[in-house]
Amino acid sequence: MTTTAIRKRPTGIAGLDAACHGGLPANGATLITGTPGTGKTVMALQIVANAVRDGGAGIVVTFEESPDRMLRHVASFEFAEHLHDPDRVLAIDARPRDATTVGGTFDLEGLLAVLSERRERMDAGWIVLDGLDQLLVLHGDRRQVLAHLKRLDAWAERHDASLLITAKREPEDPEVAAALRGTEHLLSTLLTVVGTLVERRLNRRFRVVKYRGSAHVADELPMMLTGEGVVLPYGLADPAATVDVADRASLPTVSDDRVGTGVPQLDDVLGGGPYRGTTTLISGAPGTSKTTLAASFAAAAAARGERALYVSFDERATGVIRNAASVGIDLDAPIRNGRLRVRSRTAWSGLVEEHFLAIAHELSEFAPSLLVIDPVSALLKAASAESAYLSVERLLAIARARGVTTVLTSLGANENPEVESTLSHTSTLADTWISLAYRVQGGERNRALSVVKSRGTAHSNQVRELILSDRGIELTDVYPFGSEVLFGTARLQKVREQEAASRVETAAHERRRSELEERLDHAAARRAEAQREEDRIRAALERERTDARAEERDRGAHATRVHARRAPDGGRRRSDGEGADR
Amino acid sequence: MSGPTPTPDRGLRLVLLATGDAPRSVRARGRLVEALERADLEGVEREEVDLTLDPAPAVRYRVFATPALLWVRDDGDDPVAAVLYGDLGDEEALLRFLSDGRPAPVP
Repeated sequence: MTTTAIRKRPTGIAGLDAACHGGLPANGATLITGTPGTGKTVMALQIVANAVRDGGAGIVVTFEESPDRMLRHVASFEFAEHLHDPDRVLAIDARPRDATTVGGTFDLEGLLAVLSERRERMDAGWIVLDGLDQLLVLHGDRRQVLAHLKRLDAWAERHDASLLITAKREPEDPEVAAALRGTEHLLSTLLTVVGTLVERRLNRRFRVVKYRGSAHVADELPMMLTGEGVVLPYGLADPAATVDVADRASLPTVSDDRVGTGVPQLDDVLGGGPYRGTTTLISGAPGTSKTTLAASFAAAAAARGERALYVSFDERATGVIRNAASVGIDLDAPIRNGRLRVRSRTAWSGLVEEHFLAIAHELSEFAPSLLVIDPVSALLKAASAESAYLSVERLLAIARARGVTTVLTSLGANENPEVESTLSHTSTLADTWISLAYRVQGGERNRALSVVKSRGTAHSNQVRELILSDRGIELTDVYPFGSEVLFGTARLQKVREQEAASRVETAAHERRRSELEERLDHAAARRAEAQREEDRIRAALERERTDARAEERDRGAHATRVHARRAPDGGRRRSDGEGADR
Repeated sequence: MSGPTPTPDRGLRLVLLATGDAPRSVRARGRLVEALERADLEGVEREEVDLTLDPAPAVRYRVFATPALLWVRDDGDDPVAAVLYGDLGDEEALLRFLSDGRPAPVP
């Protein structure tokens, strides 16, 4: 017995195709049920429009509203323009008439006869039966309804058509509920969309309830209606869905490249800066310069010629720019030259999924190398039927897959329990965690920076003082003093004292050195004088000796002459000969 | 379910939408003939359309469930005055439907 993989037809809705691992059955029926107003019809029409856009064709049979009205309802969506091609889109009005009576059992063979003929003529791949429940409830016999659906599925298989059947899931309407009970068991592919109010906002959730013969994402996924139509943001952007872990080549590259923070001293602490493509969390109490430090990251990226996306949740874009400028960080210039985008979003004004989608869209469209979300903790304020953490995790996964370095700011753990929870969660996702804090000392607050962790980097654990000036951010070494470290004025005062003491000590050294040198000079002078005295004495001695020898010779000669004179011949003999004294 | 009752003076004709030899269509065909006899409406103008051969009337009449019996008029924007879905197994409903469209007696 051989089995063949189920053939699929892509819907063109990225998140839906991802959730269904490639599309919906190419030759079978898919039932889309949902509560009213959740977007079942929009989804079906969008699929047809996408097919038309790609050169295909589709038939839409409306059981609930007229084709004109249906098209008017979707006119505001970008895909709607593709539904007005009469050669490739056929809309059939099949609303049950008011003057209708049921006088026995009926079937849908008439409908199938029409569809068979039109499908063949148009080569339509997608066929939508929108609001089929409106016709099926006329039956009242659940078994007959199931038989009809079974027949539709078989027809789709035989005609190689993707049949989309939309039907309301209306538990409050016992007639509809009774007629449609059991349909979910019949068809091999069932999608549901439900709408719930979360904090007075409509929250649409989509789920592939079953998809026989195909792997699929069975989790409930948030669904949104945007200008594009139906968007399943998490299905759309789940990098894990496209990465084969066994295939190392398809895994995101791990970079050894460091990215500067704009603060040279911080770069030194981090071994050159965080690794490219990693996540840095900056946490701290309000006013500890989280935003300024994040702005420094952005400005540094722009200065390197890279693009940066700064998403501000608490502050308007102009405020971020102005505040950064006040400490010498110029965001205006990179904005003007297109390297920096600052986007301001109001957390409470949209669902978490809407914020997620907007940021994911910007990541795709602007392709920045740096993403700043300031503060990520603000996302907690946005409504969502599920945890905001999931959104953050998915955003980080997207960023990581794209090699985007991410900087998240968050309020510190002491602010409130919710924030503590965010921080705790986010910190586990971050590769580098920079903690900013106030240190109150000597009647003043000073900012302290420490690196809590930095994966893959041997970093200093020393707390440093963060100083803001019109030259930007500077880090200085703090002054260890006994068991504590000194910040701010206390540090400066201590440094000045130390400098003064050092100056005094230096002067004392200088004085002692000078005295010794003077003494040495004196000694040398004395030694020179002694040398000269010695030389004089030696010379005198030499002269004395010379004189003595001369005197000796003179005395000898005189004695000789005296002796000669005293000789008997009066010294003549000698005068005739040698030694005569003349 | 019922709607505006067709009035006999509008020149209505019966149209049976069927799909070849589908069992329900076969049953409806036979039951309609019997009912027309019983209601003494054998002379009423009527037509049977096999949608498997010509599906266009289904679109024109906006009737896709089959078999279906229609009172149809040729004038006006909407040609369909009333629809009776099903294989006409509900005799009472069928006779009432036929009666509603019975031509008015000639004075």
